Amino acid sequence: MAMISGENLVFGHDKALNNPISFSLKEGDFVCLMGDNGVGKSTFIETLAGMIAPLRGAVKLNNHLLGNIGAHEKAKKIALVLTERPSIDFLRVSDILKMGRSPYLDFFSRLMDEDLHIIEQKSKFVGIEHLKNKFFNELSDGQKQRVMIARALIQDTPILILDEPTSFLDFKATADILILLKKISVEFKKTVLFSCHDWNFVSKICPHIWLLNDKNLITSSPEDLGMSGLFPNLSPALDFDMSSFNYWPREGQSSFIEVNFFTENEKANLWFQHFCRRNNIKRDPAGKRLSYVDDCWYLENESFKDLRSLEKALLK
Amino acid sequence: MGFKVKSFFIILLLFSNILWAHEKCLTSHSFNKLNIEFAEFFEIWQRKKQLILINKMPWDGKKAIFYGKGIKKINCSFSLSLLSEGPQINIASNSTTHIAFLSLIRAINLVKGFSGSHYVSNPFFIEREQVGPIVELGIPPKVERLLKNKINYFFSFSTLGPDAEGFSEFSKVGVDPIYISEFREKGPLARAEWIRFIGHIIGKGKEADQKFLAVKNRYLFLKSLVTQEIKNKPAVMIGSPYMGRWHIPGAQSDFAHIVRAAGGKYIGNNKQSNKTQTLPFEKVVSLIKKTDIWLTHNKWKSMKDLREGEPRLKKIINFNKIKIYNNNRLMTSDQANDFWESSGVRPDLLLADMIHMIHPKLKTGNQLRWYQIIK
Amino acid sequence: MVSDNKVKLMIGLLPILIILLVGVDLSLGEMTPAGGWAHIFSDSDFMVVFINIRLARVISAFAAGIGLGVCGILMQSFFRNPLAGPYVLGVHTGPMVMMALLLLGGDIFGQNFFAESSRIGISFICTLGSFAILMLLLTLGRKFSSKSSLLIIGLLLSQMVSGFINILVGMSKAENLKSLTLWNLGGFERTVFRESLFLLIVVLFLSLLSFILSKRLNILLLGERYSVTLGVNLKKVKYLVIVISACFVGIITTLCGPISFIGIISPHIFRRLTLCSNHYYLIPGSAMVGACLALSADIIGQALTSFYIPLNGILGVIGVPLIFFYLFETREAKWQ
Repeated sequence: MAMISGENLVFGHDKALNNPISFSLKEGDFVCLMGDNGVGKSTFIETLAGMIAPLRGAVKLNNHLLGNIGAHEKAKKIALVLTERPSIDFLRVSDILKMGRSPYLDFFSRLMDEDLHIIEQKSKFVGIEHLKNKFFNELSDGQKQRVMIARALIQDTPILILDEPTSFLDFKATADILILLKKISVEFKKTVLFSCHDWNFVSKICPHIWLLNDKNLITSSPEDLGMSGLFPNLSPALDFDMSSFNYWPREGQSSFIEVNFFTENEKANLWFQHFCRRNNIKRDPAGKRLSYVDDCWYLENESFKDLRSLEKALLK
Repeated sequence: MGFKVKSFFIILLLFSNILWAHEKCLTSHSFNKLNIEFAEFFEIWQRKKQLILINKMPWDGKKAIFYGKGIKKINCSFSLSLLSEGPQINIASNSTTHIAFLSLIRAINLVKGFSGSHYVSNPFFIEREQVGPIVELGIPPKVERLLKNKINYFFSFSTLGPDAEGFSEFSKVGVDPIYISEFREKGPLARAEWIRFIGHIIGKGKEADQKFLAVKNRYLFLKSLVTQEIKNKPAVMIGSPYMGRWHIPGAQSDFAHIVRAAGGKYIGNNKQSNKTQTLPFEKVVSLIKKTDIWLTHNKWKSMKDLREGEPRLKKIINFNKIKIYNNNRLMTSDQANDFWESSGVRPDLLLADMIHMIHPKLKTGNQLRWYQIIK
Repeated sequence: MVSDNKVKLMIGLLPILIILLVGVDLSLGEMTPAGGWAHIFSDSDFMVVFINIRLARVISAFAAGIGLGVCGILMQSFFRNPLAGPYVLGVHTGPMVMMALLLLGGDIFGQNFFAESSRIGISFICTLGSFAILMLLLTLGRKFSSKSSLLIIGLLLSQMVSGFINILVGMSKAENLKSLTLWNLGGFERTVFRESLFLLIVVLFLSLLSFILSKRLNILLLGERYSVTLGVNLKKVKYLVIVISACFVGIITTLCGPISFIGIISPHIFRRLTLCSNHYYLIPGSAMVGACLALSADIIGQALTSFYIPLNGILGVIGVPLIFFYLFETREAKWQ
């Protein structure tokens, strides 16, 4: 059964950002929303979460119109992680985590055993239990993001929506967060939708990709999207490489160097493949002869111990 | 030791030189000093029709300006600030008290401009302002209006000096401000004596001298009347509450002097000061309980005004025992109060008012002029 | 939890401090009861003075301090800006212009509204003024994201309002001007017992209302959009905060004059002492700190018997350095 579905949805703050689109998000789906900056991913997410009303069409949550569901009820169904971060002094991580329970709490915000248990369990799962007594402002960006994700988990909703959870994060933190999201989706059988630009990671962990492109929403898998050639058109400077499912800068007009390379060493072969690709070098049997024997490179008759000097000699 | 003594004499010599230099010089030029009885901030020297008026500046009381009238140069160490000799005297001012002085010597017709004319309550002034000859100069006075209206005498009230008050431009266009330091004088008669300075400077010296003599005699007569007849002294407090704080003149202020002259016991403030103090209500409670007559200086005209203005009073004062007067009988609808304008000029009338309130049985021949009872 | 203990300690200590300050403030004055303090109730003359002057003064200082403390925390949390406060953002200029209109209206319109209405009635009119300023702040503040821009907007608004007041002043007469000038200096001595009771009741009621908002204000710390996702009705909170703050500022300003800096400092003092950002504690805590500040300022003013220092004089001299202290400290914290 579809948890969130859109029917002929047109969204935007004042003016429409897209053609009418329809989609559905099912239980346990793990979906990445992709698209250029400014195409309206955040607005789409806000519309899905019911923070802004659709311009036309409808968003439904469990077959009920999202607009008809009270804010309080909605808070028990959809949890969000947004790009904005609280920057209040003296705000402790534990305070933020507690706020995740607020839709379930009474007027005095008293935490019951059950609430405490959920907070405990979820913060352990996200790996932030040691940060509980720290001030939020003292944390690193990656830790902050983890806290915000833990807070959303503590909200205990079937649906989790994240707006660019990996922006501003470094390579390692990005990987950690995305793997964590995958884990959440599997472990808690949550429906997870997040927006992200990092094709490199997304294509490797995400079964579904929604691409907002040219005012339309394309729902697809990374493989289909890669093959279809829709996604690669995003930038004229990039070429999509089917074999690695990844992007390379578009090649120059012609290659200048032709090299005939032969080795039995697999590692050296891979090294040279990447090197050629990066430097526009073509392998040609008629070219210069390069070989790799016993940890030593030979270009024609010259031998190179050092890879950098080899590179220089090759590109000369 | 020897050096110290020497330097002491040198300093004494220099000092006396400053003090007496102009006197010596003026006497040697056969100028006569007019007898100024009370005032300390001005001197008048006369030689036939020539006048030299010396005025200490109100802001520091030290620096003096020498005004010459009928005389342009004198071979002394000071220079003269020349007063206009034109046939027409056009006066402007920025203080209502000056209007009261001018009114006393019937010189309102010479006034051509005023800075802040809505503060003036003098009926002749208001009439002339409405008909036209008196022009509002703006606050601070605009030099161009001064010139346009051919003002050649600018009487100025100034506590900070010409630069701070915006008068420094006046001298550049040939209108030297004439500073009236009457508010710095100590004692009601010293204040009132300034009529002589103003009178002499605008060529009505004789009339001014006569007027002052009359004011002085009347004041002294009333005072002696009190000392002869009065034995009991009612307690008098002067104080005006504003926003919970009371403004009370010091025991050495002119108000306190006049209260004592009128046979009252001034209990406003036991400090040896002539300045007005701002006191919390509670300090006043003990005073007001001792008070027989309370003089307040504000807008209240009736008991209703008083109750609205300071509702706590009704719990503290026994209204049957205490008499309350306010000084606003002559306040215009524009809230210009003749009391502040004229009471300094006519201490005799103020004393008469005080006697009327403090010892109503003494017949002064005057009705209450500025004060009215609040019932 | 270390911070929880600190909070509980402060919440326990502050009432004691307040009682002490109230005691000191009540004992300050010229008069003492005949036969010593033990016989205070038998001296009826003294009781009249004590209730109508001293008690009225202390109650209004206490109530105004509480009100400004709560108002400060409401505004700081709502604008999510540590530099927000009723005085710094110029909310008091709304009541000021109303007061100027009422006090000086007689000179301009020939009708003196001030004399003909009770000050309690006037305080409701002044509340409209502060409400208008707050709405302007809110709508204009939204167009800018940086925290200091809110201050600049507040500054510009109050410049505009004081421009308007200056026009009124230029048209008015000396006597009324004196009243306005003195009103502007602020002070707790001007309230009648009845007025101070009214102030206390209104302030306690509004503080209770603010306390009820605690849960939502806590969530609001995460940001407006987050609070929406957590089921907070933002519009409702917004109007409640604005109306409550407007009432606080309007009524306190009418009865005691514009009082500077208590609003902005009190929450900071409490937060710094307890390292707490939970509104269930912050609101009562900041209220009590505000009461302490107001009472202390009044005590200083009353204790200096030989000369008169207006309330805003004391608060300005103490308050601004405290704000600078806060600014420097947070700046350092950010660099580390």
